[in-house]
Amino acid sequence: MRLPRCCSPESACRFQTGRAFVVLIAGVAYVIALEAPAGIFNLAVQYAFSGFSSLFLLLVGALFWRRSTKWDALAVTVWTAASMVAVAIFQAVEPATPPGTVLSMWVVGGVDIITRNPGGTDVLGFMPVVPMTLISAALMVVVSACTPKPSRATVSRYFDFQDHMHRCR
Amino acid sequence: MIPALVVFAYLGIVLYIGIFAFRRFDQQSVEGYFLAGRSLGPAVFLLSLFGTNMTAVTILGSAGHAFSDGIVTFGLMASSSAIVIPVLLFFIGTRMWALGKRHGFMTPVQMFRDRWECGHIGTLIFALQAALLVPYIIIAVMGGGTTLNAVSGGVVPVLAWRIGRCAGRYELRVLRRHAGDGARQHVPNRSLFNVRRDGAHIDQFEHRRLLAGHGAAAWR
Repeated sequence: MRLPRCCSPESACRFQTGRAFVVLIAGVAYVIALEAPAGIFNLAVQYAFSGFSSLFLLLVGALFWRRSTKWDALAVTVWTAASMVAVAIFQAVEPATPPGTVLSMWVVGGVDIITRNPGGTDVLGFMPVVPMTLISAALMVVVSACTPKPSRATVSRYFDFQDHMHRCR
Repeated sequence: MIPALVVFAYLGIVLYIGIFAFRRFDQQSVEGYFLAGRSLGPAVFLLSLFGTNMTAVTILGSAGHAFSDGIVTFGLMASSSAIVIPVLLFFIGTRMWALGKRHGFMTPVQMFRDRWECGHIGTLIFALQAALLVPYIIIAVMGGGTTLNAVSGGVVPVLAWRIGRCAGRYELRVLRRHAGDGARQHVPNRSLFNVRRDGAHIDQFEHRRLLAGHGAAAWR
């Protein structure tokens, strides 16, 4: 893996980049916060929690599953982003229901698949985070089974260092 | 107004610790800057972990959740604090720490790039994670603004506090990165303030030049 020269471990550029990023992201958040309505509190938690939960499968795959490839990582990342955008669009198009009411959006054989409620959206009675994370896990398994194995050298670097682990602990 | 003054005194102390730590550690090591030389002692690590988890969600969100939803909030918050976070630290945190130390990773994205033998996947994950980080900061800023506005009886306007809150968080981050660094391995009894003054292998002139170069001149 090759990185741009300014990102080499010795470079002072990393200090500057790290600091600039903190200032930049705090600035972006500050500007949004000035204009944000009070209801954003729930929405922010909803999206950020759901997204990180779904991306958590990346860590599990990278650390515990030898068969994991870049393609299943790509699938998980794209799925997470796409499903969050889909929920955001759906909730923008379909306004929240009044308190105490639930609106069935999609019913199959008498079972509510998607419902809109005052606080957000439910899928089979669960918050969107549940199907997002489960499908991420499924994607990790299915896509990695369909793509070439990672190189033996890389797998060995990540999984054959038990002695080292014990020494570090 | 007294609660507000306590908050400001606290912020002043945080700022002082930040400047204190910033001026007394090795500015030249990238690992030292971002990871405190991989050497945070248990005390600083615990405080850092505590601070990380004391978000607007924990302090304000959970109280509101409990008010509207009742005892279920205890299950929600206690399960994450007492079970999920320790389990993740034990199984994932230690493994990532060992891998990072072995292969020189400083961020999870570096590890992803290496693990999947592809730089672009890391860039994509970074972009998505950075986007997900923004909502957290927004609610921290808004929660801080609302709280100080309330404890000061409305004297501190929400807007001004939002600016201060951003600055405070940045200082805290600098402190977290720097606090344990100078004390690594040389001083057996580490503490938050036990930062070795002679840790930097640069002279004072060079040190000041670096500080100025990093835009920190205004702090002195």
